[in-house]
Amino acid sequence: MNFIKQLIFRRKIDRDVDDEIREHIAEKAAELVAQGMSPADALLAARREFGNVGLTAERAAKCGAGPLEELLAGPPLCPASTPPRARLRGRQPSPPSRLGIGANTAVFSVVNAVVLRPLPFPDSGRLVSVQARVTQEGAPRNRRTSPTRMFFEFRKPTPRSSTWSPITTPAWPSAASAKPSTCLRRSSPGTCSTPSACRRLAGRGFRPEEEAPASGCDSRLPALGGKVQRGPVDCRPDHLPSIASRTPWWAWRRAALHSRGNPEVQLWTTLAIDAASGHQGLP
Amino acid sequence: VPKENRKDLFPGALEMMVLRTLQRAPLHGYALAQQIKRSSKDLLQIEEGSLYPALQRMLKDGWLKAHWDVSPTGRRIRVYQVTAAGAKHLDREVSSFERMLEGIRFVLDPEEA
Repeated sequence: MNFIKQLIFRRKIDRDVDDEIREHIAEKAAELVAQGMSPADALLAARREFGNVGLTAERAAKCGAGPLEELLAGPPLCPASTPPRARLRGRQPSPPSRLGIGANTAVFSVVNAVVLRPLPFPDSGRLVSVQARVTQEGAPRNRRTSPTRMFFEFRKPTPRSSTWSPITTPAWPSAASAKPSTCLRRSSPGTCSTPSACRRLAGRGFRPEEEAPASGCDSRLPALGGKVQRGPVDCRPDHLPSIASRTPWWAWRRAALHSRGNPEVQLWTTLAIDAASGHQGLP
Repeated sequence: VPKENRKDLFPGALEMMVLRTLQRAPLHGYALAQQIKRSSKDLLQIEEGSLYPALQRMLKDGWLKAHWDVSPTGRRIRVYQVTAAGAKHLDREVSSFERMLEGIRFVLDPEEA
């Protein structure tokens, strides 16, 4: 009811302001005519001197309107005479609106953090996580080698026609304190038979027989990507990029959230670029 | 008035001048603008674009009241006059303005002050 009353009141203000401005311009024009100007020129000059009639009328009407109508009428056009804080107080949303705005903000914050905001790395769409899983019988399950160490192997420049394939040691060290070892080997496309770049990692070397694959690639290769990408991998040159493109976005997001503050994720980024560019390594 | 010669008044200056002018005699919008111009010896020219919104706001705040009338020339005019609340507000504003002016004078000419 109050709203209808205010609308009616606004119409009265509109009428009053329009009439008043019209009379103002007419009076000015009459004065100019009295000074010798033609009526048409006088009216034109009076209008020009007044300025934007429509805007002035609109501003004046808004200044005379009630708070509800002011709120519905859009951006404030009425020049401030009262302190800005007092004007703001009149425009604050009602408690239910505040609740709605708060809920929307909370939901958007979550969606933005999980879905919309890109990962904090360059080329985050090409991010690849590489982890080694020990598959040797008798070895502790779910033991993984350090992605950082693997990274340094991956980033070494390699020929365009070859690829990197991570492999685990076939034998688990007997000493309880020893760490699992990983070797990264450089292989030609389609073959995994001759590791050419096995290096000593985690304080343990590889015996020649350990480096030889049992049968084909899949039996010796660890899972790539840990939780994200499970299962056997092959040695095709385009293997890593295809993993990167197949991995669902939420998996990378989850990995990034869990890895927040971990310097290794910075390394993964570079690794992703390496992988997607054909495993050529960084210059 | 050329745009480069236009200077904004401080906040509340227009209200103060309108209230003081209307306190002397009730006037309609056009006459009010002319009267302020004359009183300031043509130094101040009130823009109509800011006068009418200010008048509406002062009506809403209860500092002014208005009624429609007919001028001696037969023109329909809306005449404004100051209310008691408007007069009180004017006293407060003038007192505050004088203090501000005094402060500015102290800064500009400390020796004379």
